[in-house]
Amino acid sequence: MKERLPSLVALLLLVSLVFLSWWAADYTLRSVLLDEPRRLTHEPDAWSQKFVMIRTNEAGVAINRLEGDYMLHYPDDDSYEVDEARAVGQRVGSPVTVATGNKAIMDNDGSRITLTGDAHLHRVPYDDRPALDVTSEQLILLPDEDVAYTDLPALVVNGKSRINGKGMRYDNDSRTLEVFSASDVKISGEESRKRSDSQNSNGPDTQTP
Amino acid sequence: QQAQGNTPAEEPDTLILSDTLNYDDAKKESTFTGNVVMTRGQMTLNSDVLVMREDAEGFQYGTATADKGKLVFIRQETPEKFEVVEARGLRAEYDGKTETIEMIGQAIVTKFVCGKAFDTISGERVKYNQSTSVYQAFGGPNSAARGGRVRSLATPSAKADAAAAACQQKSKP
Repeated sequence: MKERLPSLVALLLLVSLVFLSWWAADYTLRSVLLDEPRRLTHEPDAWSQKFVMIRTNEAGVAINRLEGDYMLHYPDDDSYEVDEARAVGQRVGSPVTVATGNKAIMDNDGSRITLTGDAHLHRVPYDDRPALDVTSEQLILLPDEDVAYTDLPALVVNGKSRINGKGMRYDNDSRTLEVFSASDVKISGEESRKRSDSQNSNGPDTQTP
Repeated sequence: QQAQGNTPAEEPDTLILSDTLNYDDAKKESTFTGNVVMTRGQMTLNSDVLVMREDAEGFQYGTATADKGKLVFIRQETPEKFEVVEARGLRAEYDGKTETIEMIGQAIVTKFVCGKAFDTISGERVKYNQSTSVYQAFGGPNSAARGGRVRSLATPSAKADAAAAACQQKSKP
């Protein structure tokens, strides 16, 4: 038993050394005040007034612009809440779109903007095509895909045609509009009337005084 | 003396109801799908799919088709003559420039005066010009008449006029 005494004592010393160092490390961590953990409640951490936010593509060309009267940033989901929002899409090769709404929430790293309250998307005229306006209680924009969609009833006005429906998706890249249900389209006869007037007026038998 | 511009005939609005719509603004083409009802003035078209497109001058062209086992149905009223023209077929083509409707496949066009059927034309294709009221019918393997031929039943117009007059009488207050 006597020969084993020194190894036992050495082992004991080693174990106490390990325990002591663990305790010291733990004590140090507990005593030093670290930053508060990120707040998980939905509380703003930054605000701004009359702001303009511009996103560019890889070549540095501005493709999206978000403006608003008042903005709050929420760190928990990295989202922005904007009052009187105005989102402009200006991608090369596509007509400009201007979307407005009483309130907007931008999240998913800026890849989704949800406009609520008199949401309105205006696509400017291009080539021989008239402007296109989509209005609804809510419009969701996907700036990276240049798409706007809604699941709610919406009205689209394009030239003299009016399209009502429930659930719509407008893709500004391919210029296609999908109405998902209860589509109700009215194509005004005035447009064709204007065409037949213009044909009648430059017809052969137009008398001039 | 200023030329009296005769006011152009009132061009009717076109109203189209359907379950879904796919509108391609670049190609100026709209595809209506599901319980499609198109109304244009006194004409109503019922089908399952309707593809409308517009040419450079802005004239509208439409192609209507029906699901298997069903037919496209077009009804054109002429109230002042108490006339109704009903057309059925597997496919209907509408040409806004020449204002013609062509029923293609199992085509049957019937003219009613005062609710009674007077003229009936059946064939593979029946073409009806709305502005001149001229019909053209063609036979073929998919004709609604026997033997792939055209079958036309025309009632003397005197009878039609008499029926219209009777209707006129009935509708007097």
